[in-house]
Amino acid sequence: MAQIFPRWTNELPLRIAAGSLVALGLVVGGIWYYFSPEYTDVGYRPVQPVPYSHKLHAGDLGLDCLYCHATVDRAPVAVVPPTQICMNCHRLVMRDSPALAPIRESFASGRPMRWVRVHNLPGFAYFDHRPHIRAGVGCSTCHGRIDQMEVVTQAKPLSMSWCLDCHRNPDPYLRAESDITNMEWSAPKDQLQLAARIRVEKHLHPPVDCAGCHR
Amino acid sequence: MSGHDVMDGSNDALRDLAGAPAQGGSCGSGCGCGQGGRPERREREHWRSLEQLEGTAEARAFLEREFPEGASELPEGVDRRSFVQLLGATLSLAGLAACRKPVENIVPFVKPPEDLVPGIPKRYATTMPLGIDGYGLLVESHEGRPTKIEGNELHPATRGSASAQMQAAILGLYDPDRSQHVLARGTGGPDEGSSTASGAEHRAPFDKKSWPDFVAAWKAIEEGYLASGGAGLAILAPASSSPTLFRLATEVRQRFPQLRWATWEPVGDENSLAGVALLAGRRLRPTYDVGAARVVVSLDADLLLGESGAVAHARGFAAGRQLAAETDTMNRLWAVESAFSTTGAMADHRLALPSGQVAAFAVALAAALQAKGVSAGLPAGISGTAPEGVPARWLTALAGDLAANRGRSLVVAGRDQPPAVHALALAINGALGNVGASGAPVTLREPLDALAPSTAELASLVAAMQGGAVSTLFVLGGNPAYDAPADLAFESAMARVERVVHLGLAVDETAGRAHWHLPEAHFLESWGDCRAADGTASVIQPLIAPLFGGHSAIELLHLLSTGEEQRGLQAVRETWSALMSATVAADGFDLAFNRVLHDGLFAGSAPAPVAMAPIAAWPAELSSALSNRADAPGDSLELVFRPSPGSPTSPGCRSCRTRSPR
Repeated sequence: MAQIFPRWTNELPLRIAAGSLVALGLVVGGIWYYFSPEYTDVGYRPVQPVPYSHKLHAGDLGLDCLYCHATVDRAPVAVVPPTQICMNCHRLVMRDSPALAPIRESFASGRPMRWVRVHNLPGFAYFDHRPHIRAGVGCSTCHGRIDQMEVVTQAKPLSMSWCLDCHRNPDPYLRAESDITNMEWSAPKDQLQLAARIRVEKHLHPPVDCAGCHR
Repeated sequence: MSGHDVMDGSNDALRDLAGAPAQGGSCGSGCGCGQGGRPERREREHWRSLEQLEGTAEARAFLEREFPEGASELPEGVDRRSFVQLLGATLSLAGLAACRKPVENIVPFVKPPEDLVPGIPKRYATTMPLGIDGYGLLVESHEGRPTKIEGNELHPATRGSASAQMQAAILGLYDPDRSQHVLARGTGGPDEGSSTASGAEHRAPFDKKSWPDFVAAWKAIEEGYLASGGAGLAILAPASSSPTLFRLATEVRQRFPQLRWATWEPVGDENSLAGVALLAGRRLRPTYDVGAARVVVSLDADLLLGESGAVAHARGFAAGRQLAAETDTMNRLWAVESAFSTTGAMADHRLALPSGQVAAFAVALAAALQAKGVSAGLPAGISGTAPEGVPARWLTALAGDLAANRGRSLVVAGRDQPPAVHALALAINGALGNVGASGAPVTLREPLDALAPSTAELASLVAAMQGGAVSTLFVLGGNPAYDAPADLAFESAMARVERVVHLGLAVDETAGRAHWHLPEAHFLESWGDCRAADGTASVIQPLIAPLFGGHSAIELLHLLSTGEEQRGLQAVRETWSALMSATVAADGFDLAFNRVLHDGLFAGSAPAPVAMAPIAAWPAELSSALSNRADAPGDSLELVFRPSPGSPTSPGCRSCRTRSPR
């Protein structure tokens, strides 16, 4: 009488177990990578109504961040500049540029511009720019090298673990107040001593408890 | 055992209503109901609703049906099964929408307002009008939208605190039930012979109109009224202490000498003003400084929550309980009241007494004080026996406490009490030396610019309406069809008026009987002014442009009094340039007016307190009111109407009231 199961079926349970492990690993790894803000959010680069170039304005022309995002040290949110701020210069410069037509139209009609939000935190995460600026976290630490971007792109994941990494150990990112808007800043050799001094001077205790951000 | 009885009894009652004979003897054995020959057991009849007890047709129909109407019929169209299927599919597909991150827009200003930092709220001082009072507020505004109300620390009526009514006014502003359009009846004209309430249901429906349409409609009839001196024209206004409204009310009566004016407010200080006028011979408004009193007696007055000025009273009361040093003593609060109130809950001594016996109690208190050497001038012949249920020790202790704190005590009568009780409370205060200059527990001041509520005015207006003497009635706010005394039958009188124009926050009962409805601007979105109980004047500063294009009573009255349209700010500035002219030079007006807007009040605008003359003899009217009072016997039932502290008659919450069940 022939065997119902050939010999190779003896290994079948083992193969299935091994195969499931690999599949499980792939699924976990896939979710780990592809579902994380690191993959989904970094590089988000929506098309804006006007092709505004931060590379030109902040990089080549050297406008300070605070010229347009004026309330970042006074309010929880950094304003996107009112049309009037654009027109301060563009009344005189590039007056007839077709790319700027929506700005001129907005200024003339009083209808506001509708920019597309790039850095979007979920509503359940509380964030205030002011304490970060006061502590000495520079613009480029979270927003990347805006001065090199033709189109604003999300550079960092803005995920919870990314926030906590810095809140647990802010030392590599703290700078002097004069360097806050400096886009070319990189950590000096004595960064750790500098950061230790800033932490003592400003009494920095970044919250790492739940209620710090989920209020 | 008793439970079984109850079941039987209620079954009997149900059968009674359902039309089946309940008597055992009358039920034939052939009917099969099993009742034949059953002994009668109807000791008590139980009922579950008043309709059932009355046996109305609706209640019968309800009982005869096995299921409520509509519950047993199969629905047409989508049946239950496919509805649940669709619901499930919707739910599962809705999850897919979360796969894509929504695109959000950032919409900055084109030209940003000066000093506005998005994300940082600002606070503006304004005033909430409430009857003939005004309460100074600080309102928080986020990017031009008012969000939170608190009291203004500088204002005497709030002193930094706000009541539930004031806090809730913000909800009144954003209430989706507010009326949003000018409405007018399609075919218009009076509905002939529809003096009954049901007749009004056949009215033409409302059409959406605009404010200019209304102005044009008024212009069309204005000439006729100008020619006749305003005969047939009437205005019904809610109580107010607005200097601008007062000025315009005077002007409109000059323009139309025959105009009938009535002021009506369902909950107000009419009795208090009438009582003080009985004793003092002229209209004076008492204000109480609870903080200055060591002994406080409430005669059916919810001093800390329900009465006008309650916020300041509560602050003063709390201050009187604060002990800074070991030797400090607390104030003492005695409450005599007919319903349990916050004041009663806070009282050191509380006595429950029917509302109708409070007058007898006040007389007994005056008599007891007389025995302690404090003479309120109670005429002889008024019996000073305390009503049943008042312990003699309680009364003696209270009189002793008051007599030991002359000049530092306070007796307050409640809004619901008749004028005579208010007069007697003032007489007791006067005898105790509590009435005086500012700083005394009681101050009397002339109520400036007050359009005080008057039931008599309303009654004579309704009589004129019933008699057909009113052809156009303007209702400048409020909901009189709902809250006017039922005896007056205001609603049916409205049907006899050719043209009723209603200005209101909601399409309520009054709007439902009116020919024109104009959406009213909330006090947070219109310019105005008012005086606090002590006469301090302040401006009502809008926090936001009218959400639904509403107009304020000032703007409507300005149209009537001048024939011209004007926004509220101009009318208010006009009043205030006259009001401030005594203390401010003409060229400094703008600066001084801005100062008033900034502070939320015009400092020093309260009139000086009036000294109370000693009472030589009591007016006969008052003596007879007190000696011929009809005290309710102790064991009789008493029905007391009390305003709910949550749904006041305030402009901030008028729409809440319209939703309360009738």
